[in-house]
Amino acid sequence: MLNSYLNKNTMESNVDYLGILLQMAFALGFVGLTMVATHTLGPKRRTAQKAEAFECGVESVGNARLPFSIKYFLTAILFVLFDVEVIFFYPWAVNFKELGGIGYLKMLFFIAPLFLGYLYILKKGALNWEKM
Amino acid sequence: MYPIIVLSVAGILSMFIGAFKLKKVALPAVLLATLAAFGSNLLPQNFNDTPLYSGMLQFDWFSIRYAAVMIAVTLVILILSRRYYRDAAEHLGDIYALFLFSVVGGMIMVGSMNLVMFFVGIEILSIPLYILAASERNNLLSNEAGLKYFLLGSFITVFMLLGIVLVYGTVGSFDFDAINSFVHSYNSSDELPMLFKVGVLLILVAFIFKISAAPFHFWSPDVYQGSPAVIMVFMATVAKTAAFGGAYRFLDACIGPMSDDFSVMFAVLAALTMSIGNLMALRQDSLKRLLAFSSVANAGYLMMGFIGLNEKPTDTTLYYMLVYSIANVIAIAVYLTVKESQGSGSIAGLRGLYQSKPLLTFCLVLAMLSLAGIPPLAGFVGKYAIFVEAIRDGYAWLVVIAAINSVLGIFYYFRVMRAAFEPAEGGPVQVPYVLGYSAVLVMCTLALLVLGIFPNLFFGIW
Amino acid sequence: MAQIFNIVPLEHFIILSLILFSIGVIGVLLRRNMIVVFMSIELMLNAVNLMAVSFSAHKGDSAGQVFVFFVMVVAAAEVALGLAILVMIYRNVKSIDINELKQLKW
Repeated sequence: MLNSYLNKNTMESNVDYLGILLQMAFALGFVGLTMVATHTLGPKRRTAQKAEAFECGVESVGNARLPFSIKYFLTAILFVLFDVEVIFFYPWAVNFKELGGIGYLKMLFFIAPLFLGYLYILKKGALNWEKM
Repeated sequence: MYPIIVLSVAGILSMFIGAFKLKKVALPAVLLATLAAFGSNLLPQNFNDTPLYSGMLQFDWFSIRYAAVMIAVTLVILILSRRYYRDAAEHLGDIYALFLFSVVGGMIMVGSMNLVMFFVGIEILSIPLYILAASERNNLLSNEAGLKYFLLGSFITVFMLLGIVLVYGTVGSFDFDAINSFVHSYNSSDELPMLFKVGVLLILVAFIFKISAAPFHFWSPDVYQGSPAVIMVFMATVAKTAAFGGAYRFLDACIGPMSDDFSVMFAVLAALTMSIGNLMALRQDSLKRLLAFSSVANAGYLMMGFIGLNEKPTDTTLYYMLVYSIANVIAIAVYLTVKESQGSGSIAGLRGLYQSKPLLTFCLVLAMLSLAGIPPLAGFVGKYAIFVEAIRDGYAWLVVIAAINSVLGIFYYFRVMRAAFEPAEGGPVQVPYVLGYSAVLVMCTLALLVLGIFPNLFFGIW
Repeated sequence: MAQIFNIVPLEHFIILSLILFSIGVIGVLLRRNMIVVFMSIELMLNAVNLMAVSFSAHKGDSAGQVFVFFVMVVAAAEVALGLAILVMIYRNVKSIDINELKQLKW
């Protein structure tokens, strides 16, 4: 029983992984492209401060259990909240063709409140790093 | 369905009113939206006997009635919240938005025809309440109340989720109709699969927690005392109405014939709940805590409505809930004025109220008489109707316990009234004037009288 | 998908998720650190998710998996809220021990 289960998978694997390979190439290419672009396009100033080990803006000497600023916490929470909504896109993405234009409109309607929420936190200044 | 849409949009709007710092507009806009929701709830197009959205929500008479009561009580609480939120204007828009979202959750819960929708509704109801309970950021009591409510609430919710998944695992569907026909396909509920029974029991445990009935009532006095008074009255009235409505919907539409098996359990729990609530309320000094235990006791009376559910209308419970809500709102409104002038939330702080505010005292007295169940006030009619139905179902012993408890209740409600008539040490207290405050209170009090003398006004119009 | 139940019976999935759920319950009841309590609640939620997914696969009905999405979103909202309450309390009492909060009692 175990063998039949495994064999069935290996048989169809060669064709099915092409999409994943493509997506991986695309993702890696995007990362590489942005890195190259920032290095070539951005201005460069080398100072002693910049050569230090970087730890998210916190002074890298002293006690590791330093109570840190609330800014990181707020950003992390907002990230979690917006990030988790993505899971509702999976069923839509899988059935994208069957749902068609109406499905697309429905997803826009689903995203609209999220976008309003984004505008709200923007207006509240939750993403303004200096003012927080 | 319309009130859900109206209130959701209004909630988002209120958030932006808060973000753009338009303090003056916040309350009128929110009140207008609530009125619009109340009106749209009564539109004939809103009524629909078949479930909408692929069998998710159903707006039949049951949900419309519950939605009407919830929106109306919210409206009164919002008007009375002006006294409380006069200074704390920084987050006003957000606070009103959370109120509205919570009511939306309650309506979704009461109207749900699917366990997924049901779960989403109960969460939309609860999550704003967790925030509101902790909304006084610098008050440690409020912080503690919020944390306690959040921890216990999410802990119990997970048990409800486990129950939902077990029910899904045996039936293979979240749909109430499918679960109902699954139960019907067995001759007696003894033959039902064990996993299904455990699942239903776990969901009921979550309800018993949400309505703060024994043995899961321990959170409610602490949370009610720590939360801001306006939030407390919202939790004790609107959230509880939603929880009772949701429980009815689940027992009636989902497990249907099986719900009679739980009658004895509900009867025992009701007796336990009202006894604990009344006995603990006797020894309280804080008015808020007294009202919290009175809320536990009233949950006990209301639970008597779950007995023999299939043969009787659900009107009596809703009537009782409405009447209890109005009385509770009046009591908290008086508490707010006293707290503002005296700075003390104890029963003794009510002293001298009659000398300075005879009208408020009159309202408080009628509210307390209604809570105690003295005729001809509405509280009496509500209790009477519930007791009569329990006797008809053959639970005379439960009615005897409930009657003894009502007598116990009279003691502490009269203590509150007596304190209001006693003279204060420092002469009569002055309370700042807030526009429309007394008018709304008097109207609520009149509603108690009218509903008590002509109960058919309520029972007849549906 | 259903072939998996020929190798691992459904009961094993249920037992595994019940074990995880119990670990979560014990964590909530015994630990005093609020963050650990939140983590225990998350563990319970994920145990329920695992059970929902295995039931869904067993019945060949996708509703259970969609239910898991809803649970995940609600869990994220609850965690965000819980951590916000935690930070607020930490600012006031400089501690995240549950026993520090004992103002409200009968």
